[in-house]
Amino acid sequence: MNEQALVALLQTQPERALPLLIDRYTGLVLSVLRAKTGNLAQQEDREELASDCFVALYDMRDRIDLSKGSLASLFASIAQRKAVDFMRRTTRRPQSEPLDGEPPNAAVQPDPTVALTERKALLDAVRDLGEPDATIVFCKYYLGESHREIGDALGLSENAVTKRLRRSLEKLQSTLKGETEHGT
Amino acid sequence: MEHKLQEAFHTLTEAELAMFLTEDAAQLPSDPALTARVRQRTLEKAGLTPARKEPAMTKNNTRKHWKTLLVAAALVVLVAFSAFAVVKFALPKAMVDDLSLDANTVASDAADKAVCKTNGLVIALEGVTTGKLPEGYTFNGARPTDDGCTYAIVSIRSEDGKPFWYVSDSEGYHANNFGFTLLIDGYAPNGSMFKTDYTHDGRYCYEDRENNVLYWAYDITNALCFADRGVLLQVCDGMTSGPEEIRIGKDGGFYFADGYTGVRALFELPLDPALADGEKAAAWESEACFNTYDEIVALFAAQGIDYDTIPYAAPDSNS
Repeated sequence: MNEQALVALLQTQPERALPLLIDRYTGLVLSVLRAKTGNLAQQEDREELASDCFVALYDMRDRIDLSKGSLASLFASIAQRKAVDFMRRTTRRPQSEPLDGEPPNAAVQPDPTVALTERKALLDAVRDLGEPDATIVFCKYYLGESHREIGDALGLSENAVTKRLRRSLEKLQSTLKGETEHGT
Repeated sequence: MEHKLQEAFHTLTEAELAMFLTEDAAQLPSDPALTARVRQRTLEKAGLTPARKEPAMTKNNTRKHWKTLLVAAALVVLVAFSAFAVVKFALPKAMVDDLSLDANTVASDAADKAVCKTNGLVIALEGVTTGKLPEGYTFNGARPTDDGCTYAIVSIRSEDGKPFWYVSDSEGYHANNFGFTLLIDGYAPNGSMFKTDYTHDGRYCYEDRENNVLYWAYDITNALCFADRGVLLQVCDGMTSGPEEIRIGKDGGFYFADGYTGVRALFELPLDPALADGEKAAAWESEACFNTYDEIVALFAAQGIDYDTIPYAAPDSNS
């Protein structure tokens, strides 16, 4: 069932559409939540947030505009926002709850030295890598997935993901270098 | 380069997300058990699955319970078809085309069909036929079978001939009000289980607005393995049926709960016993947690609940 049909079904028979959406997008939603909340969210929290994401989409079912992006990107956006809300709530808690492990990705502050134009060029270059390399880079740097997880999702071996990623980074380096030289 | 990528992807805007997450992007896998928990939470939060009501017994409803237990067997309409492949019945052409239904089974009017009149509705089991699940009616991106599906075809119309799909939910019936549950003879009803795991949610509805009839095709393919022991189709006016609505009795029959006011339509499907597949049935029995009467009674007893006396509670009842 394509996304347009899914949205139409969600508007007319939500009790049928929601399970389909959940089966299809839970993996993505949880990956985004894990990437954006890191160790601050327990598995239970993430499941709760994931269900909040699906309910949010259900609540806005009559306003979904697929011309602005796919359902997958909409779910990722909703999950991002839910993760940010969760982080705000969590970090307001008293410091009695110890935080162990590595700090979550969301705690990393964006580097202002990455100029907007360079950033745009970089993202365009990633997209132009084509598939599956663009998705590999996205999964690695947006979702923080391991090479094995990426391989499982794309039907590739861990080794193949590692090799493709290395080649992609070299290609991106070369593309951006070429653009810089061409631009100066 | 890695640092730049981390920075860039960390601050992705929604428009940029759309650039990478296109409709044909690979789907990320998820643990089925985890997905099931998310599904359960979501449907409850969205109010799309009736929360299981605690069967609190009061003196009043305990006293009258045994007097009014209805033997649903009396309501079960038995249809004596020897094999569904030779049954013929008429259906709207658009529906036949849409589902690629077997032309041999739908070419002429059926001589017999099972009919239930309930709650101002006329619900009929038109027959059972084979076809292919249409595009757009798949479960989790996969079709239940490559070879086609077997459907129970049900028609629903209002007794007064009104086109009820124009009526709001609060005032009457709407196409979306109806739910279907498969019951296997000898096992306690478990609507939610059958609906997704068993039939892949393969429901198709055709609205014949000229004659004010709703036709439903309900995919029963995976239930064929039980053809030799009896498969029943319950049509209800909720999403699923729980023990507050219908349950198995000690004698193996199915009973509506005391005071049940919902739609009562229960049809025995005319399946050819030769279609039974013991191995497949055993696999379902093992995987899908079927419970016999004794087992379900014991399960509820462990929670301090008498399965036989769980009273009906209307969906909008506060009591």
